[in-house]
Amino acid sequence: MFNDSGLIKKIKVLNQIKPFPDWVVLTKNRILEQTEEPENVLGVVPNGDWDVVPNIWARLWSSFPLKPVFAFLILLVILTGAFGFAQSSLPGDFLYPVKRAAEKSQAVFISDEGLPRYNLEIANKRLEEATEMSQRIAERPKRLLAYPGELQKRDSIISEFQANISQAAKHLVKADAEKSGPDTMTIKEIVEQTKKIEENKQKAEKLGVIVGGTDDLNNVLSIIVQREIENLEKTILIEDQQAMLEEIKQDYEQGDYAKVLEEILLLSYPQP
Amino acid sequence: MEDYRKAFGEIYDKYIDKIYRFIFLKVNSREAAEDLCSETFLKTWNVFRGDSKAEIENIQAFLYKVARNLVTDYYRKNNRAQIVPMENIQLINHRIDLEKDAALRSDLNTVSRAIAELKDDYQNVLIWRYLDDLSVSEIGQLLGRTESATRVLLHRAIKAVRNKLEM
Repeated sequence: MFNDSGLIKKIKVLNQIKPFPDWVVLTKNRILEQTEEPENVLGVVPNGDWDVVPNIWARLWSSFPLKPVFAFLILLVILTGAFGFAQSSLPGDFLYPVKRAAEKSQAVFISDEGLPRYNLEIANKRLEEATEMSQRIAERPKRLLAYPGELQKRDSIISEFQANISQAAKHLVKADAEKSGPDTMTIKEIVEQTKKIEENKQKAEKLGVIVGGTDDLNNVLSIIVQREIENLEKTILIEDQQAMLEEIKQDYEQGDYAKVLEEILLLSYPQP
Repeated sequence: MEDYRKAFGEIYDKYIDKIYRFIFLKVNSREAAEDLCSETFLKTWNVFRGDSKAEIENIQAFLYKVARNLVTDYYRKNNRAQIVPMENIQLINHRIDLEKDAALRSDLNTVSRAIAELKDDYQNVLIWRYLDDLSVSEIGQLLGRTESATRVLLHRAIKAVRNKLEM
């Protein structure tokens, strides 16, 4: 006599039944290859002037004496096109590895001073990708939504964004320790990238993406801003500049360090 | 279209084993199970990519529904399934020795025979609960019954299969 658990154990033996792997793969390919008939986008009559295009090409190729050069030029155009298209690719797209390879190759030529800007640029790219992916998912019909792997890829992109933010902060701290602080050009670039990050963060969060904080970067920016304010306080300023400095200190208390840095630059290097 | 293919590919990978096993346990023929299983996914794919105006709220429920309908049509054409031995059936573990393999197939034969002789609803609740690990609530939704009615059905199914196995 079987008790319930013994009986259930017997039934679970049927878990051993599964389809043949080859059949699974063949069936999947067969099903997913089901498409509609392709549109006759050229509007060409099948047995009319259809031969014209291939004939022109054949004549061009046969009459052109420098075939290797021509072949090289075609390859160059294809590669340039591939790199160009790759810039807008997202994780999971065919050209995405090309985009990442291009980023890595750029990194080789970055000097130490350029590292904070580079890391912030890459962080921005990752954040833009996560936003774009979320936008894509949100625009699909309800039945489609996100397939499981897609959300994992997006989460991985967000992690990379945060890692790049931390790296940027680390390099800024290093630059800060080695010199008396980043130079004006670096501050300008940091301001630009930080503002972009804030904008992209807001876009992403509107689409429900949890981006997380940028505390590492904010902490470093706070130190840089504090030092810049101290330097300005030691400087002789005219009345208008004094008023601006007071505003800067108030904004510093609010914690908007990118805005404060921008104001400091305006104060230090007024526009004509 | 590429998005749809990728998404459906993942759905296929997730559910193919379950749907195949579900159908196989009802029709007891590898060839028939393969045909019906592939038909199930093909029909689902056509709806998924938008060929019809139907929307798929719950893909798992949809797949089971299509599979059940196809099995019903199969029964109509071929009478109820003949019980066939498990010699030609793919098992998960290829590395077990011949003696264990024979014992396993004997168990499979016994249990699948018992389940195949049950009525449709009993088969369904047993497969969904103990092989596909669906909750009672999910099974209730698939059958269009309340949770308590589903528990009662499950209890009766267990009793029925026990009777078959002890005969």
